[in-house]
Amino acid sequence: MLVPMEWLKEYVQTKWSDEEIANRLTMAGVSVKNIIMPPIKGKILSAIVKKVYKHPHSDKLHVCELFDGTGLYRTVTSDMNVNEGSVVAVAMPGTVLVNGSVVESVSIKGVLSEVMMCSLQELGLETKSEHVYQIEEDIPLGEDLIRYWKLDDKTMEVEITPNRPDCLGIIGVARELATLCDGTLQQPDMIFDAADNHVEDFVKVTIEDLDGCPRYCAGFMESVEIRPSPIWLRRRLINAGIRPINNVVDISNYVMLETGHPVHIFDYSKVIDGHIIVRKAIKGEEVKLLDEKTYALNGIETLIADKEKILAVGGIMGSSQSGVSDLTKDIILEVAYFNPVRIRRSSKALNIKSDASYRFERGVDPNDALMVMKRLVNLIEKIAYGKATQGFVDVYPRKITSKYVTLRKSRLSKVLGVTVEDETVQKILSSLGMKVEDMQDRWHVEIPTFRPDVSIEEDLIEEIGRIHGYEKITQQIPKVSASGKGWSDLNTFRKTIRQLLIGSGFDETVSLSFASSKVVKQSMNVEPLRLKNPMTEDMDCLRPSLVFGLIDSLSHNAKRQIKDVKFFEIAKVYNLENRTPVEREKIGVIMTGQLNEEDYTDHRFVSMLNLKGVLDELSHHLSVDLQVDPAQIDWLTPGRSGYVQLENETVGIMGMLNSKFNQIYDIKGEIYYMELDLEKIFTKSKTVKELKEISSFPAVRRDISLLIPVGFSSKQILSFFEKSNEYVEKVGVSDVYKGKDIPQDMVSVTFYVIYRASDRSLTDDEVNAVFEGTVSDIEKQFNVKRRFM
Amino acid sequence: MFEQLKKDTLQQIANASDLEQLERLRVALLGKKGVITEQVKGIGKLPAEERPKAGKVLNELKEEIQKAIEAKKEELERIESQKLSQKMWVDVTLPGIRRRVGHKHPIMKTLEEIEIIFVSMGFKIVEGPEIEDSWHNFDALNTPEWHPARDEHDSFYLDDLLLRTHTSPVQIRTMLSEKPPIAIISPGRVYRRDYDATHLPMFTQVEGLYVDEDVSVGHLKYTLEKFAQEIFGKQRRIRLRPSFFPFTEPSFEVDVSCGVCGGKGCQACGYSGWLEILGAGMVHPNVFKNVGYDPERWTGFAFGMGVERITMLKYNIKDMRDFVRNDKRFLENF
Ligand SMILES: [Zn+2]
Repeated sequence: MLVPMEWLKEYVQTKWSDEEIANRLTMAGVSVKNIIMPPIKGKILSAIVKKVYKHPHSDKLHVCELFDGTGLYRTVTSDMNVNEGSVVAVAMPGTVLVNGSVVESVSIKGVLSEVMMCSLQELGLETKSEHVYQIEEDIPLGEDLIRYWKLDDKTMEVEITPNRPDCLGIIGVARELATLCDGTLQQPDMIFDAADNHVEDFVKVTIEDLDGCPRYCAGFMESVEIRPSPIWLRRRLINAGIRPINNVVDISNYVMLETGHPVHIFDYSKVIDGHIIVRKAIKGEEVKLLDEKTYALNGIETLIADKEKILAVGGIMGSSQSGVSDLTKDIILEVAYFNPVRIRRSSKALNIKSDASYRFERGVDPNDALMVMKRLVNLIEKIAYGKATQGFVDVYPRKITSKYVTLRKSRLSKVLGVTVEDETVQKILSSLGMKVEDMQDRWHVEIPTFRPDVSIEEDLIEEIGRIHGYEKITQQIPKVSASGKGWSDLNTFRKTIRQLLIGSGFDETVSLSFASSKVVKQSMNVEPLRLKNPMTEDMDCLRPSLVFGLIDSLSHNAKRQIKDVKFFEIAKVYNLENRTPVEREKIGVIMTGQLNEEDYTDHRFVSMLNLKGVLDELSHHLSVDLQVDPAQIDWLTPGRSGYVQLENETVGIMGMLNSKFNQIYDIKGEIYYMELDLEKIFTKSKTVKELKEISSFPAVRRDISLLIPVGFSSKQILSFFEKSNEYVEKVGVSDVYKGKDIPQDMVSVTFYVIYRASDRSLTDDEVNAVFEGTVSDIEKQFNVKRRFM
Repeated sequence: MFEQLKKDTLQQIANASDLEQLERLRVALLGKKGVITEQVKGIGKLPAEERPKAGKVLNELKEEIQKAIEAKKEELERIESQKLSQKMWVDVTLPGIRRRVGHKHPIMKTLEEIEIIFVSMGFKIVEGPEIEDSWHNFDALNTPEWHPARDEHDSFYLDDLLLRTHTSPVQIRTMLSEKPPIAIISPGRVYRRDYDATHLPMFTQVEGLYVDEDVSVGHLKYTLEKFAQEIFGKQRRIRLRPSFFPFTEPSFEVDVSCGVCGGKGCQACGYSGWLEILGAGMVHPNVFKNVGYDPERWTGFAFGMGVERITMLKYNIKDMRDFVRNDKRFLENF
């Protein structure tokens, strides 16, 4: 909300500077985000046009001679409406106008234009002006208009939390300030003259929807004169962020800004029989509102209607026909109280947010209606010359009464952790408009209806705390007693994996959990979990795999010529399982480009077996037996993909992404990807490894190169070796070779076996016999041949 | 006497081409059977009157030869080491051959720090689901369906479920399953419909909850100032600014004094001297009622912070979107 400084100060006097006011309000919970200072500065004086004559060299220009009471000035204007005798606002050279431009003395087609006659636009009082502003007020010549009209007044930008509807009006903010600075809150001028005729002779109100509208006050005024508002009113509205329209509409906005209670004004001639009917909308009913849009109603709105048509959607917006126009003569004034929840639901359903709905949905004071009405009449009488009738219609069958809240003195000090003097408590609460009764060990507090947020003891504790000042509360050390481990085992497991991957050269990433359903379907051929209300099309579902975030990051880097990337992310993926959304935490690992980009002696690119190496390293360190079963997987490259298995359960997937990914994300080169299920692996991981005894006898190693056909899983041979003899300590691969002396559909794999006994030295002869025997068995069983016969 | 010997010997030393040759020469001259040694032994055979003079001359000669050998040795050693260095030369000003180690993501790095601070204060880490129902996310937290505070939690919906807008539901789940005293923090990803330089539709939150008998605002102040000092520096202070959250009463925005100006006001802190870092408050009695705790007996405080925001302040990062772009050059800073 925007709070013009001088408006606020009209309701409370304080010696504090603007900055001090802002700071004190902020520290009491009325958060001032900014103090806006208009750029206007210099000298703008009131002056009378003494003489107007044609520009000697142009038909489209006039030359005016101006007198400000002491000096004469000449100016050139294109505005033919300026006449001799007009009083205008004249900006002297060097003056900075609202748009930041500086007035200069210039020669226009040979005539020196010394000063400038301002339009309302240039004074910041209108969005667009056609003409020079001709002053209507009675202002002496030579008056400093920047000061007179307070054009350089500062405005506070205030953030009001949703629990404080009372602060959505200047008076509410002033009440806070008065409490803080020990000042007196002024009341608005509510005096007016009423004619002899009575409101009931003109207006009748029937409430059918009492739930939606518990109170409806109506007033009636005759013979208003619709015209532009005076400068002071325009300026306050503009500074408060509302565009002036005409005096009556402006006054209704003004009263809302001042009291926080939105009001509405109807053209009396548009209301059949002057009979206002407050009723619930019928579903499907249509109405064209002030914004010139037609809305279909949802059957939950409260309508202000006459017997034929809708005049307004109550508390939200008036209809396009029923409002005040230039021809309006007599008016009905509405000050009502609408049910906050109903307003919020209606405003959401219609997708309309207005200044009125914003306030009503937070809860205005149902009991200030007559005060607000009187203020409204007072201003319309003063500014639009309307004549009031006797009395107001006030339909309010079930009065909303003040709540009483008990505050125990012991509870106050228990929660705040500090003792506040009784006298201070009493003063704070009274100043906030509450009635306090001291009952020795407690206070009995009557809460005014403009504070719907205060309903329990804690709310009062907050009021006292925030006004008294939280800086006065001393720190206390809590007696937290540690209850077991700070981190869960899963948490620690996750941390271990992160450390392993980071140590293996992978950078950790964090990416948005969203994906594009189009891309998901295109690349992976699965139906993802869609959001009901996505922000954008490329984030319309939750990702079913971490690959989408990781490859997005890959693509971001590739576009910046960063092509060697090894990333991982540990996060949730989301899928529908048995029609229920399920989230699972996964480890996603992606790699592309050079294997060791910081090693200039190594120019190898990442390969499938490098990816497998990462998996083996995890297996080793986490003490789990992660194995890969080759398999054809839709979104991976045929021949380079498989499922990761752990004790007969699939716990992941790995392989080279298929070329669709390269196309969609515009990345060249092979991309390897692996995704593992964190919790499944965690469940089977052993925290304590079984240690094997370390033998001190010498080892004997034997190597053999075998020709392995394409499609064959060497794992079988490795396992065979492992189980071949009790002295086998380790089995591995020392070389993989493909070349011209090897048949095309074959690859030469060199296996090694290390034999070692725990109780003696093995002899070469016995190892040779065992190894030869095993290799022959392998040749027979798997139908593979030795590379060197 | 011995002039010729001296001349020849010094010449030989000067001609020595390597240390080995020099050592042989030394043995040949000064060794047990060396030329000079033999001469010294031969003094006894000289007439008695010549002996002292011959002895003196020989001693001087011996010293001179020793010096010459020493000098030559140094020279040769210098040459040898130069040769060796040529042979062994590696240009150590070339870049090292690195086995690149990866980097923690800044968010995770800050999160780890936050976790360590609170765990060392006795808090326990608890996690929960990201897909929530609105009872756990809103209703149980005293935010009924038509509460205007829901505007600040513009949620993503999945049919009848939603993506949690804060990790407070984890607090609810914990309170429903455990009895006080409770001291937990709940880190995790949360979701709100907002996307610009200072908002991400997904961000990382850490919320904390402490419930016990006689917990007051004083305890909250101590805990959060301790936290701010641990994460930003010992000289930092905090202040509580009244605010509003439906699930706490009283509620606060917690500001930390600006590290650039120390609270005097500068550009970094918008000339206020303070930077907003988290929201906090005393747990609302309705929240206790919703989980079956007696609000008369138990009081507590809760707080919540965005890890992105803390990280931005810590490392002076301007655009929150950098966190999810994962530019390798950005990540390598952490
Ligand atoms: Zn600063």
